[in-house]
Amino acid sequence: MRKYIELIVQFRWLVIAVIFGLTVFFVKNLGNLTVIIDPNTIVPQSHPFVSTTLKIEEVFGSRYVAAIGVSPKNGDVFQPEILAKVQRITQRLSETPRVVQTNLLSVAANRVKDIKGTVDGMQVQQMMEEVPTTPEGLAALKEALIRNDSYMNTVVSEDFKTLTILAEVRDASPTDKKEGRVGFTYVSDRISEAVDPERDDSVTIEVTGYPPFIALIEKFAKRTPFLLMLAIIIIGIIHFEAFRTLQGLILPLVTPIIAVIWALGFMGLANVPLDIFNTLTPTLVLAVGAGHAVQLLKRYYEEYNNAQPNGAEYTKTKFFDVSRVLGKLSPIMLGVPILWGLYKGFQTGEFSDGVSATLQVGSVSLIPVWLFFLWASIRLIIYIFKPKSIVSDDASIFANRQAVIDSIVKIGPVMLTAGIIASCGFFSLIVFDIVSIRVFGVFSGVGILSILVVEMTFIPALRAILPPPSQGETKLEKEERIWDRITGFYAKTILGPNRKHIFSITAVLIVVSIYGMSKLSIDSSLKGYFSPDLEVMKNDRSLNARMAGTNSIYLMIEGKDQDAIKDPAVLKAMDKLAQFIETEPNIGKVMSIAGFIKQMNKSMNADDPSYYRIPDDRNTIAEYLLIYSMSGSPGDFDPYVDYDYKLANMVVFTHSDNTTDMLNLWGKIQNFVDENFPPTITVNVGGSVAQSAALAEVIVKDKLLNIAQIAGVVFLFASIIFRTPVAGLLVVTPLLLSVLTNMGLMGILGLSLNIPTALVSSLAIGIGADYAIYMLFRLREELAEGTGIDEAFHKVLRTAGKACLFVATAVAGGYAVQAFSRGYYPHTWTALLIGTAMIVSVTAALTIMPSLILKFRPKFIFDGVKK
Amino acid sequence: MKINATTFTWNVMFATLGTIICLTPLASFAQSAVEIMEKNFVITKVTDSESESTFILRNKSGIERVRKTFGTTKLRKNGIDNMRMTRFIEPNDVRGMVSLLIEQSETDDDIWLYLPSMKKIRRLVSSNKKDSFVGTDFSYGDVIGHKVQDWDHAIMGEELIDGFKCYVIESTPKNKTTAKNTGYSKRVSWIQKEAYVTRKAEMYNLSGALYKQMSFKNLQLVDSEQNRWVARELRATDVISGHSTIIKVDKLKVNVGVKDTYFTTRYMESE
Repeated sequence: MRKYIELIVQFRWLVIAVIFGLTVFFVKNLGNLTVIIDPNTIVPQSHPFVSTTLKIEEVFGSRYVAAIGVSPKNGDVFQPEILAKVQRITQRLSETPRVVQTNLLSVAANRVKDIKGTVDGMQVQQMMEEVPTTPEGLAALKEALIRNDSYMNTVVSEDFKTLTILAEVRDASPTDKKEGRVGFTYVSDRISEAVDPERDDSVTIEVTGYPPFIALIEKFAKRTPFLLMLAIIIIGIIHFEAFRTLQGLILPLVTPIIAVIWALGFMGLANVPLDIFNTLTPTLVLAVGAGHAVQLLKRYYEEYNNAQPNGAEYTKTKFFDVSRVLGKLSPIMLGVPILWGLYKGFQTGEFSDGVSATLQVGSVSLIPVWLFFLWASIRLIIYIFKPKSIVSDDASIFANRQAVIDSIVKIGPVMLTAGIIASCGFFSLIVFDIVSIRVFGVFSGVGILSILVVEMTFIPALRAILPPPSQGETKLEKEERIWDRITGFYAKTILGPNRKHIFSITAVLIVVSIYGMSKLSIDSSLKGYFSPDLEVMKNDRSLNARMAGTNSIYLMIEGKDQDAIKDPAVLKAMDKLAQFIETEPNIGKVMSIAGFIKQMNKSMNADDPSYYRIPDDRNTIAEYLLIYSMSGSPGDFDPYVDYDYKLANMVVFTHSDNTTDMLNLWGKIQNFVDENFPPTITVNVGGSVAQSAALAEVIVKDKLLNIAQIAGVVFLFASIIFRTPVAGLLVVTPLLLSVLTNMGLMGILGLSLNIPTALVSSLAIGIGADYAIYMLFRLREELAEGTGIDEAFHKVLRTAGKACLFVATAVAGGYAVQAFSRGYYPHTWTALLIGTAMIVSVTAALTIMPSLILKFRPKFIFDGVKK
Repeated sequence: MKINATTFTWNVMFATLGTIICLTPLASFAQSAVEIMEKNFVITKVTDSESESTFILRNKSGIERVRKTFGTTKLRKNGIDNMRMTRFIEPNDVRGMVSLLIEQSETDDDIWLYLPSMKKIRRLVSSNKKDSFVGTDFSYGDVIGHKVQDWDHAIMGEELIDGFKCYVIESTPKNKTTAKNTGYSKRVSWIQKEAYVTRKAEMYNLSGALYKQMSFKNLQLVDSEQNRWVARELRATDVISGHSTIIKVDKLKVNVGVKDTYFTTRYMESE
């Protein structure tokens, strides 16, 4: 290790140039990075709900439904101008890319037919081929809608105040991808283009459904870079407060920034878009990177002080004064613009307004900081050209290099251990069934490895070039402040009689967390991500209340042979099932081929209501379908039954996108199917709500598994490195505690375990082990050097412990800002949960873990104690 | 054009003046697009026919539905409209179903249906000419023939189709009603020179996008006296939905004196 690091110090310029070149290379690849939410990559591919969804999309074209509600401000919908608007929107949507033209459902859609009985037969006509202009024509349209029950509440509301257009959007095909028709922002924008020209004073037009919601996530995901930058700045300022040195501000950020660029550049290179999962990768890399960098820097100061020639006396310098003042002022200089931005943002409700307000005020309030930077940079340039008069003497340069080498020799192995353990934990996510989680695992692993590379090469090389800390700086760094009081208090507590309180507090915390966890629900409602006062959410509530529901569940009825669906027993069972489902809470409507056959049967029998049922004779059904084909279009029933009548699709409109509701319903449907369907028929469920349910199910099962897996990997590695499972247990303790309290807190606050919250808990795991590892190594080192037990614990807390505290506070603070990302709850949850995870894991590593060590006196720590 | 209901026989007629025109190339050179289309229109109108056909309907995934039919046609007195009787032989669940279409070029057509499972006759009011002809990608309008005088025609050039020299004629609706009724904003027909049979056609929907492609193969001169032709294989593809239709006329007899009794309800009800 020493040889290696000496080489780095020797070839420092080369190392810096190489790392710089690599970084430039990755920066170039950032350009390839896009934000795309492809729901296919965040769903468990082998889950039956998902495979059914994919099959339904393939056969019936149904996948993501956008709903457009058109309501006149005065009167009902039977006004020529209103109907003309709906007709034009329908027409435009039929020409919109990625909208499934044949599945459009609207009063003006080609496939929406009026099936009507006549004296001697049946008449099938397009519901509204032309907009009726006469009162008779309008009345006839109303009658036709009432006559065809399938369309009540789906294309027109029961109070006739709203017409709905349902557009099904399919996934981007390879051609779409080539021509840039990807993502939901694209689809959502195209839908707006079709709708917006019709907006005026006479109508309210509301757009909702999956595409606009996923487009919103894409929009909010774009806030991530800004929030990340904000986090970086805040972390830097807190570090500045902690170290009170410019290097303390900059150096711990250099590593994670370079590593984030590498990880993101790598993603751009691999053409992996940022999505809901891997937007967290930078967060993770930042937190972990800052953690290692701070440990290294802290240790460097320590070693530098040790290597100082005869510990020169500190004299007041101008430099020191400036940085001290700035350190004190930094919270204000930073806090004011952020608070102002938040205020502005909340006032107008636009995130970008908040951002620009922050930047405006920030650019003024941070003028002293900029000047300080400028001055420091000039000083650095002067230093590099070495007019020796200004800067340190040869002795301090030597001490500097020595400190760089010593700190890496001491910290390097610990950092490699911690980093490799964490990256293995993330790489192990590759066994997951969800593409996006695999990608997240791989890139987080790559990010952490990048941190190690940078910390082991670039940072020591840079450190060797930078001027050694001035006397003022080192003195200031050693000054006792709040951080020392906290760690000092911890040290006193664990060594004193109050140690038992630590155990009892922990016990209470565990009990409370377990209680909280018992209340934790697993639910993945997409719409639950958004603030209820967003425009789309308002639209959704309003349309959802007036129509059959803006969420859809698909039931795929599958027979063994061709024409299985034409079997009256199957159709009757489907009809019965539809009626059963419609009595369930939240369900607005069920559309299926059975409904159309009933309607035809009625029509063929002179509209006699007693014939509104499935005929008993199979051939009658076949004949009806043939008759229908003589006057409808070949594709009219495509959304409901496949070409050889082996598969049918029942579309269930529901008011709830809550996955728990959906799973309850599915349970009931399964029982119903067992009792009522012929045994040759299988029924499966799909659609976007079912996909979310599949995801939620996987999260429950696999997330716990995933936590256990990472914890297991950490335990294993720690046990191997310290050659005892006791060490493994000690390392895992803070980590498990932070996961436990996280979930407990979620339960108590009523948050549910869903994709974003589950991911944050895996972040907690990735970070949680590092503190414990640093603490254990340092403790063993101190004891081995012959420091007395009490003194060793004090010292460890004061050094490694304090560094942990800096980082944890900085990261928690950095992410706390996300709490104010208005409208999008996953950001708020991230802020809350990362904060908790950081505080809990650092506190556990600084109190419970040492207390356990003192209580149980494990050999691997105490064996090295010199008697 | 006419279709044998069952078989959908496109009888292609040869103008009686065909030979004369052949002898006077100058005259043929000078003829207008309208004249070509008029000759083309009548060339398929056979007096009567009896046929057996196979319909192959195929969706975009390549899944097929096959139907076999027996049918008769008889030209009505106006020489344009047909009576068409179609009896379904396959698939089994519609076997014995009979449809009777009395074409009415001026108004909507009436379709009478016999449903063997209910032993009842029912009338289906067809909404208009743009509707699908018995679930195929041909519309009733395509089957009956688009009235020449409702469209503007222009010769766009000449092309070889299946080795035959053809006029490329573009037809656009003269008014909105025609466009709306047929569902087409433009038709392009490849009409064989001198024979006046359609070999290929393309239709554009009301948004101006290519909608259907049709081809007519195995053209047979079935009535040399009147110069009437029948395509024994017809194909149509809806390029938007990916659905396609192939109609094969397996057996065909023309001018056999088809009796009027075929076009009665009594016949429909007979097994």
